[in-house]
Amino acid sequence: MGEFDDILKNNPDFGDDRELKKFLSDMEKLKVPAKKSKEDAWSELTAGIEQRKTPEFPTIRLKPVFYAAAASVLILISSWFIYNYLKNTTVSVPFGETANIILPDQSKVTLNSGSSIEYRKWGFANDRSVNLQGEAFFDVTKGSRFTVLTNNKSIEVLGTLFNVFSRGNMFRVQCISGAIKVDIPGEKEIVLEKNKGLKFDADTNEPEIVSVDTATAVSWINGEFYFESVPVSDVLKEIERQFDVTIQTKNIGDRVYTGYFRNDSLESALQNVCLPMSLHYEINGKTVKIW
Amino acid sequence: MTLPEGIYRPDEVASFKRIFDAYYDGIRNFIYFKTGDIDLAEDLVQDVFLKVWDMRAKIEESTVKSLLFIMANNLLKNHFKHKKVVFNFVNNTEKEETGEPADYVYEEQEFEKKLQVVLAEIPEKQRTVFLMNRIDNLSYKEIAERLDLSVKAVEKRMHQALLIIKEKIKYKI
Repeated sequence: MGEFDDILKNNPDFGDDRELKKFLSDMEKLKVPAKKSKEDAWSELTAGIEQRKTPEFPTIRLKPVFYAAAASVLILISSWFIYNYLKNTTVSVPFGETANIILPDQSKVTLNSGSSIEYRKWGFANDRSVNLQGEAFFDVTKGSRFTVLTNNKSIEVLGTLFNVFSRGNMFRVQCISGAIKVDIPGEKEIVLEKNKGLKFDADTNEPEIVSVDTATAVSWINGEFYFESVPVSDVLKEIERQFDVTIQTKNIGDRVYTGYFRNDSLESALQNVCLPMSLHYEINGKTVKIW
Repeated sequence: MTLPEGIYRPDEVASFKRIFDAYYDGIRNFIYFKTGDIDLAEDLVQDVFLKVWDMRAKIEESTVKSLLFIMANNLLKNHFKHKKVVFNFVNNTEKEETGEPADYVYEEQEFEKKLQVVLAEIPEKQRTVFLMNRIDNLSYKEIAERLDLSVKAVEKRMHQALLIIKEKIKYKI
């Protein structure tokens, strides 16, 4: 220790103290009487971490229950202001539109057509929990745990950008940046990192981890919809949502479609999907026939 | 032994392990230097790292160093025991198979006695800095960073510790 020797040498208090020097050099060989090796300490530490079943976050609920308590309070307090503040905020997006929402914690949510999101403004910063039906893209600010509840699965956010699709029995989540934790009842939690996604089909009942092409995964925000080997019927359902039309089909079979459409023109969207599949279409106002 | 993927984020675990490898010894020893209680030190260092894991979302690897020592200090405050501080350092050098010459053993015992007395006389602040330098071989800069002090402050505490040692070893027990 150069600097230590300097203190001894340059300081008149110590300079020539041989006893001090001897004492200090005798100390050279000492070390702390540790009882545990570093490896053992690490094992003990990781065991301690794994034992914490659900750490900072309580078990994820599939159907939120806190609304009941809020509702009974509403009846007693008739002030409209408080009523408005306590009740859940619901934002629904009809077919043919998308919406951008900013949550009380400044997180941003982009809702796809035919989707809705529900959350409670009061106390949101402490318990950031939203109920989603449909599809939405989330940009979550740093803070307390953020949970997305759907009828299918629940997602706990460790990161910031992700896309959730939950319609009927189909569930998809794609992690764009950061990491998310997906809770599947009866199975362990799954952590998804950037560029990884999870697909869950109630028919197969098996969650599947897939790689995500982030460029196309959330292109719906820009009005572009990409599909890779997706059943045609699902593609047509998305067209229904984007253009707010009803599609009647006859004998289209159950093939899969790979391609894309933009939501700025129903005509070109139908062309993009139907022509490659050798299907005919006819537009009658709000109804489309495909065969 | 390691935290399984799929449940724990791999990058978080790797980052946590790096922090552990870099500072486990330092934190354990720091607590030992303050208390002379190795069992307490080995327990509290676990608590420190568990806390770090719990708060990992809010902690940056690049600035975790002084946070670790602050946490260790805080945990110590809750565990304060009015116990006399006694150190039992072990000797690093290999002992020869054959018995040591009697006077060597005597000298060693004398040194241990002296060490106990001396260290007990040095106030905690100075003693901690002194031991971090002499036992852990940390530079003043490193000690300053860990304890959130200026290098000057570290030098001052070293100086004070040495003054006391110099005085104390004058008077042979």
